Amino acid sequence: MSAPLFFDGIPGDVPEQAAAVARSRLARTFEELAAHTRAGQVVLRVGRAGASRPAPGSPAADHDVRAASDEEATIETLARQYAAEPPRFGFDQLVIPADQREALLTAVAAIRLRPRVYGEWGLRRIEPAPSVALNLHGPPGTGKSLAAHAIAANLGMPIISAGYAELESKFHGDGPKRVKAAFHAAEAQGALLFLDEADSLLSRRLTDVTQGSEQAINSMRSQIVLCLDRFTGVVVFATNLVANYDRAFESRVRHFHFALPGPEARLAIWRKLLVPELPLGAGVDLDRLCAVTEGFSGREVKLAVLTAAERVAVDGRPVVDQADFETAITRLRSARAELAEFAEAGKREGRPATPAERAVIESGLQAQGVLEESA
Amino acid sequence: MVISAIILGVSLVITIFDTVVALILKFTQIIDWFRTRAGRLNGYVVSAADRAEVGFTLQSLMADNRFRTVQGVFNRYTNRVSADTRAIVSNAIDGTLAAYHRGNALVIYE
Repeated sequence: MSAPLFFDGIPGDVPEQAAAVARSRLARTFEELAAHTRAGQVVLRVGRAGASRPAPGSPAADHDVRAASDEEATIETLARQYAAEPPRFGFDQLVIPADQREALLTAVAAIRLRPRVYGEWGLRRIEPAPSVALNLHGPPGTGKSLAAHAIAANLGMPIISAGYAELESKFHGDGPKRVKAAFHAAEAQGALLFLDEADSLLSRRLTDVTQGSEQAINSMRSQIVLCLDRFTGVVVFATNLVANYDRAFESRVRHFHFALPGPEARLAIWRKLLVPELPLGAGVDLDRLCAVTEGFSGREVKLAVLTAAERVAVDGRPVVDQADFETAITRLRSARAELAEFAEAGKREGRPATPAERAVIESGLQAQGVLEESA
Repeated sequence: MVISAIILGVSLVITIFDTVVALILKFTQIIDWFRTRAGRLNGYVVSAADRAEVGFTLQSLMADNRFRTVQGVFNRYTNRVSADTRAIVSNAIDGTLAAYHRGNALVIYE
């Protein structure tokens, strides 16, 4: 059911920014209401006080119908950008602790048994749209993307991958459409939808919306909630660090943590990555490689293997030796340290001092005799 | 204070008492100084639970057109400036630092 709601209450002299905030809050309130009551899509129109409202059947109302139809066409067009692909990895390639693997496989089995639970056992009557949303969270390179592919492979589904950057649009209002289109594409192609770098999408919605960009991100988050409630497929989010999940996702998304591999998992990763075809020198010591890659993610171990192998190939040498791996590891470690330093420096943000801060600091510096040296 | 030094490299910094002379003062040098003090002062880089101490830079243009940047740590709760402030005299400042100080003599880092 689609119910139009009209608000003609914003006075004409209210600045556009304030009106936009009011519209955003009203939209969010009714989207949440619709989500909770499963009332279907709520069409909300907020107008200026005294503005005429289109009567049903009037040209203006027809225009609204045409606009809705245009939006559907836009969603269809955008959805074509998301083509399903066969999953590239399986669970046999995923090295994670046994209990974590068990939890993921159980979740996958539950997805497969949905026809019985919601069909045969009739639970569709109390949950008409049993979507399955999983959030794989943890540091970069810990196997989240690989796990998403493995889940799709296990379910016998193709996968549609989309990053947050692809969904976000510089055009106001396009972001929610892209989100909708990605879900639409997954539904239409029977694919698992994998939304990578979804930190921003799952974070708590902003309460004090003062800028268009904030309104846009809130709209995308609201759209995700709506899509999750209507989606009958499987969606997997990957996030690095979400400090503050939106409450709307608490009941809708199951979370799985991906940690950096411990010694045992790292050794297993090394064993898996040193494929039989790779020519290794006699001195290659797996235990030592495992020890010197403490704190590395699986992806970083893979990079060390690739970097060492490429160096040996470029040099025209026949085998990869222990020293090649250790050189690659040292380079990766220093590159990582540089990146961390860069990121750390980037976090420090400067702002102008307040008048009170300025008074106290200048007074302190004068007491130290530092300010007197200024020109 | 006597400031006399031979400056060999673009980012070479020579400390003379509490004043540092640099050809170009880079934002990373400001950050490095805060970082070295973080452990000792429990300031600037502080835990999320304790953000009492913040860093600051106060910048002015000297009569000879060089920049004088005073750097220190300020405790917002006690309203005190730590005793180990330093001043850096430089011919130029890098883009990041210039952006922070554009129109703001005193910048707070938190």
